[in-house]
Amino acid sequence: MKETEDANGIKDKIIETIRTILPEATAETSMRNTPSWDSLKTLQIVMALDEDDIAIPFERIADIRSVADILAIAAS
Amino acid sequence: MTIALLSNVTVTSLAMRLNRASREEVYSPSGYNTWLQELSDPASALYANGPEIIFIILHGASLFGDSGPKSGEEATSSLAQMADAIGQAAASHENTVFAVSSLDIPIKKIRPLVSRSFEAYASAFWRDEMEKRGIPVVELAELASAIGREHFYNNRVWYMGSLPFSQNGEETIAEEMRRICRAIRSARKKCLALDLDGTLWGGAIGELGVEGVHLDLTGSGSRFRDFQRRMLDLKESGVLLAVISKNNMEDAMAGIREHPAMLLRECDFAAIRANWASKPENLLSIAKELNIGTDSFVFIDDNPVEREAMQIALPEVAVPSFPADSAQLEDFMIRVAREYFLQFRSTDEDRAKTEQYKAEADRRESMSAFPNMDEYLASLNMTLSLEGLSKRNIPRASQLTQKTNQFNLTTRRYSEAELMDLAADPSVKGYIGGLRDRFGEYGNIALCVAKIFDKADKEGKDGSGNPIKKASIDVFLMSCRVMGRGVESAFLSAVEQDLREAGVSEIEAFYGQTSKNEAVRGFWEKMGYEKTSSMEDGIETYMFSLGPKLRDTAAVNVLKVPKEG
Repeated sequence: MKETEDANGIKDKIIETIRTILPEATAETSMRNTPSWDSLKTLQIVMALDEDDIAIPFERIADIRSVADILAIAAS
Repeated sequence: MTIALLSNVTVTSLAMRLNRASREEVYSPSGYNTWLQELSDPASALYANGPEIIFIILHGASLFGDSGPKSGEEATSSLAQMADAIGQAAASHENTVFAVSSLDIPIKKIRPLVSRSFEAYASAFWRDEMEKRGIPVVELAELASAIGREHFYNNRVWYMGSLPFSQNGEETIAEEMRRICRAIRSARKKCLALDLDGTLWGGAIGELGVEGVHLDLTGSGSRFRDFQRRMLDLKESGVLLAVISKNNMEDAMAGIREHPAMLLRECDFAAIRANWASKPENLLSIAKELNIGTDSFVFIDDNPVEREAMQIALPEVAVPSFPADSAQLEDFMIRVAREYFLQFRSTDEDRAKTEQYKAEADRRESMSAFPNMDEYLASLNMTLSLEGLSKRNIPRASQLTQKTNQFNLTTRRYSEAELMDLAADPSVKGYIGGLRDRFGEYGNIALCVAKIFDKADKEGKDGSGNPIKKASIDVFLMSCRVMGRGVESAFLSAVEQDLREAGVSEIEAFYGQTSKNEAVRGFWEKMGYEKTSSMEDGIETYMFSLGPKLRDTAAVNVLKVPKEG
């Protein structure tokens, strides 16, 4: 139960951070449905998450296509 | 204003943050590492919009390949070429300010402990090159060291997209650039008002005595001396220092005059208030004495109750919070200086400011020896020098337009770049007036900008059919320090005479009402100008026909300074 709460808390925190770069972001947001999400925005999201001590490994940055990808990478 | 941002690495993200921090349009070229080409090509997109400021942010680690500079010669020869390119671009774009980052060059090469390193040498060389060329520096290396390189840079985004800085790093640089933009526009505070007990020294002098307060040349007491040292830096850059302390005057003065480790002495303060009145009351009295607005003050006090009282009573006074840890005092003052007193470059007037305010006090004292004002003014032996606007005096002229609120008829604020444009326009005449008297130099204290044009109406021809020239006064201002001495009349008279010599026969003048210039509302009428339109949208218009008769300038001698070159 506690683990699910923690996971939800981290998920919310990540989406909140992504919103500092993509203000409309939700768990469903992706590069496909968000034209303003370009590769620079991806890097800015990585930078913003770094400030929260959520490190996206270099090898996985190129895989990011959606908020769901980021959540999955952060959870792994 | 347009800002441009150049770099040898990708700064798209930094440009976006600068745009957010400054709320200004930021141009950044799309090509990678094309900064030198953009800079050196007068036809490049960089110059298309006539940017007011060009920031050049250089990533030190990328300047010398992957091993850093291999020799002092390699470091200096490539940097000297870059510095030359920047210097040449700055010289051929006089209306643009070029601000260039210092170089942060990390030592990457694996070296034995005993080995030569050229990184620090290259950074120091770069700084010297910028200083030699009069180029303002963005303290990038200092910012990186303050935050720590591991937090300032981000390896992941560097390898992925050639973006070197972390989010924190980008935000810090953008904030510094915003401050520089503000410094260029001269929106600088004028006075630092300081508490004594717990602020300039540790403990209460009334209880501990001069010997008992915490302040020393070395050891733990030196944290207050280091704090004072940075205040002295500010004083030397033209900031007025004042004391507002709840103390008996004799206790306060004993500390200031007698404590062996005091760095700031009586002569460093433009005003001292040590009494039991409220601090806002004292600040108001200092503002009155120094003739500056309360919104020009930054108030420093360790006591949160006093800070809050100041903020409530005078919300326009800047009141930064005081560090809880007194070991941080010096860094705190550096931050205060960056936030409120950052200066593009210092003028002669800034450096002499405290002395000027003191000479003013001497003048006031001597006034009581004269039976009337006219005799007193005559005794001052005032000389007003009238000079055209030039590259040398434009920094001060811009500062006057930014800082003068009371004796300012039109309150038009001009940056240095805008004044350079006006000075280059043959239909514009700019005058700056300097004043000295037997007590000392005031420096340049008055400014007038007049736009000359041919009178447009049908009757706009003289007897020989030549067009009648008319001048429109765009700026007429004078430092309030010299108000009420007939200087304004002498300055106007000198301007009128020069305009007359330039063939002008009519002058159009304006009074633009603001919350601070009520004192000069009747100025043009007093000078014999005829009101041609009453207050409309806060503006009154006046007209004056230049006749052969010169204005009586009584106590002021006027000296016309010949044009440079």
